[in-house]
Amino acid sequence: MNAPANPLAKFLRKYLTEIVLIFGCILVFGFTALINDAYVSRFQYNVQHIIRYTSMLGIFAVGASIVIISGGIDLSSGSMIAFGGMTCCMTISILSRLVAPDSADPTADVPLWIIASAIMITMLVGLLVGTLHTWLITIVGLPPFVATLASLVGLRSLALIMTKAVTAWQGQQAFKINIQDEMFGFLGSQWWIPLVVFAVVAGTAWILMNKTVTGRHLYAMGGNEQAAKLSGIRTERLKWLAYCLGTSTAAIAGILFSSEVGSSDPQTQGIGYELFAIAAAVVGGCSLQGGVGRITGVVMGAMFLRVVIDAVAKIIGSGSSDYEGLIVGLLVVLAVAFNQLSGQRQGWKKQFFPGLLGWMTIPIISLAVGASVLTPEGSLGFGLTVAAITLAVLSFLKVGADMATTQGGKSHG
Amino acid sequence: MAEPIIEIRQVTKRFPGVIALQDVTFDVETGELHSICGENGAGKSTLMKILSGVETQYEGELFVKGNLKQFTSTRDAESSEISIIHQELNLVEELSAAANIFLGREKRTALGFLDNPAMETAAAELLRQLDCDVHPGTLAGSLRVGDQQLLEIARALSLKTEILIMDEPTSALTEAEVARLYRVIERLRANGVTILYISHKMDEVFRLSDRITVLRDGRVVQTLKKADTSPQQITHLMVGREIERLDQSVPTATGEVVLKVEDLSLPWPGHARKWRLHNINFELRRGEILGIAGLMGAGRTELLECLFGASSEVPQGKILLEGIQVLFSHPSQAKAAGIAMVTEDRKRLGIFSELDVGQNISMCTLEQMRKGGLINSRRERESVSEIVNNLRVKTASAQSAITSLSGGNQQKTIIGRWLLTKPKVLLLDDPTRGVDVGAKAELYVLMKQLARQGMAVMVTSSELPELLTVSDRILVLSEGHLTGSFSRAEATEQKIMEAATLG
Repeated sequence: MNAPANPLAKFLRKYLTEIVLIFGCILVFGFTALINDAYVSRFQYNVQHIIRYTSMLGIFAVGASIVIISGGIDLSSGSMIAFGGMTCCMTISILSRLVAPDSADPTADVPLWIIASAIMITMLVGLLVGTLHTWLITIVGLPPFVATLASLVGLRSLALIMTKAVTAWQGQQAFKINIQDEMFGFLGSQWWIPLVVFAVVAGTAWILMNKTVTGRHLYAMGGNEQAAKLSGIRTERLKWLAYCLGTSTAAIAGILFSSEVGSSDPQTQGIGYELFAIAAAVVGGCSLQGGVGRITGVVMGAMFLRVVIDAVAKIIGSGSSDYEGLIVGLLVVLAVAFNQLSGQRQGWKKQFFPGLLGWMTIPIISLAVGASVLTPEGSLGFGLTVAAITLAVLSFLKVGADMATTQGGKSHG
Repeated sequence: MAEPIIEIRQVTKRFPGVIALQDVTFDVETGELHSICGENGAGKSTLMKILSGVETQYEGELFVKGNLKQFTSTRDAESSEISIIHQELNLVEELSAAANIFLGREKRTALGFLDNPAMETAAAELLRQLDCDVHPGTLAGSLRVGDQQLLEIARALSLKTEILIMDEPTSALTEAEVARLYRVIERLRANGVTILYISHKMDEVFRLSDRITVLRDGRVVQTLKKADTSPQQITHLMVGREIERLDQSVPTATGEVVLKVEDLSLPWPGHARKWRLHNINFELRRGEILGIAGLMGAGRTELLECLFGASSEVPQGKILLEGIQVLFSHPSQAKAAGIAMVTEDRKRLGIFSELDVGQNISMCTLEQMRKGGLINSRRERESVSEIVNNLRVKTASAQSAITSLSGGNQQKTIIGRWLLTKPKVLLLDDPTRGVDVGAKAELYVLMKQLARQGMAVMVTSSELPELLTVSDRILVLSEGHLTGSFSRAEATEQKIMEAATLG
């Protein structure tokens, strides 16, 4: 409650989330390096790898977090990535055929201006989708969750329809649009390009949110929309800005994802990434109620997610991508629990498995832990053993905590 | 002397950094109506939370009917026959009246399904006892505040409550509803229910109570019999200091007309009355404080919203600001034209609880504090400290959380937010609601000062004495019609109430 006079203490308190996440990253990285020597032997490659994917995630996580801070939610990022990638590749494909109609493979060597205009058009499409969201939310009156859920489902389908039509007109119907051009591939092949883009996006967002009137108004609207309107703030315009930032950052990420593999693939690209973006925002300290969150936190949140995913990949080896969802889910629960419990006095001392719900939850968690260690090489028995051990440990803890509370209650009375 | 039904012994409650209650000791006798008075922050609510089992951690002892109790939940308190009617009503608006009364204790059929007919019959009987003609099947959300409150009382009755705690029950009621509430209270007392009554309003306290306990800064100042005390003494004990008296002798010099309203009407689609406001005409002059009186639902807030471009529908008629016709469709236009509005519901419509005191103050004028597209934090600091100093906002610093301020100081930051826009017309919608006595007096002085500086002020209030204190002129609204206009010299509570209850 009381503001500490010491500026260092004040700084530490304000940036607690970021500091914890930085230490978390170092800890996870160090721990993994001890188990698996890949981080030591191929240090440079691995650091670049983490930076690249942190940046790819961070770019649209920053956009999604601005929407969250402003009091909304954008579920469309994953599909917007696919749609953005498709828009970019399709523009290149169409324009290059116009320029060189007789070439055997027109996308093999594309003039720079075509790539530049494809990028511009993709970002413009991002703005259009954001504007559509704003219209659905402010005029039609849909809840943001529903409006962006509609595009999450709709945009990917639309991207596939357009891909099949355009490829058919160009001669061979396909589910992907391939771009052979080296320059386009260069964007995705270099680890530092996503980093530069991420730095620009995050830097701009930081200035916007911390130094400008618009940013302050976004926080105000996220915290109390009615009060913001009654303070003479044009909330519809702010929403337009927030949703456009959400979709256009996803569109930029879509360009990078497509250039990395040299094609757009609406069927697979960016599936589930909207939840990664929201997870990064939440891990970074944003509140889904709006009005709370910092860009620095989101940047660290994205980095922490990627570091943990990468560490698990190093430790497990092949098939590690299966664990991504599990890790993200776990981290979101832990991060939000951490944020809430560190604000309470009793915090971590509280009984987490009280009463009947506790007895029901303990076997569920034990079974989940047991299931998570199943491997094609291992056996069901191993999973069951792990589950049984977890069950025993948690039950022991619960009984201990139950006894402590009854004794505490007695000493009160 | 009657047996004490509740004995409170050395109850102390600490919150991080604050002591909300300190060594509170007093008795409540069986069957009495015991009022608890105190400024905001005196500890009334905390004490009631302890008694009703909401707050379970405290020091000290609590005896109910001679037995030591430490409630672990509201249910636990209810089983000791203590119920509370909160100031903020706890109803599920989407459920029926009957369902709300029996929420958590639903009657069931032999098969274990909900027995709605039985609940509705029982609810109808309870509501009939309370003079309430609401059908038990009506959705709670569609009821008027007064009826919603009776629902809560019905719920308490259904629990066979012996001790009923009422937290400022009249704060949102019309005069008629207040009268009905008084009758209900009489009936409850006749049935032997002990009532703990929390209120700011001296007239109610003196009308209803047997005894009065005054709390100040978490301590009991004194418990007095009604017969042995006076409203002046209680107010004095509550505040612990002399309240600043308004200098009424100097009449405010009013200047030229700033705002002129002609035939203003606000449609009310889908409602039998058709108009929230109908054919309102008035003028507002520079340096004038114009009070707007009226009961709940008379259209006070709606009138201010029309002038501020915040009304739900487009108003009809003419609004002339300094002779030029204006029609605002958004508060930002009103702000640019020099109209400011401090809203009624501070928590919901006023403060930004995630932002600090300074950011709350600068919210309306950030555009003017820009330099090269960015916020000039030095200019922002200067403006903020100007407001904090001029309005004497009591805050640790401009970076403190707005929620750490008392109601009165929060209200000052919101008024300050608008003063920075240098408005010609300041609209204040019930500015002293939920503000304690001392801070109210400060707000009156502030209004007078602003008027003297030439600002035109319109103020609404649900408390007539307050309007009579501050206003140069009082307009009275009744069901959307302007039914009276009184100068300071003519206005009396009697005349205003008569106009406010005109059909």
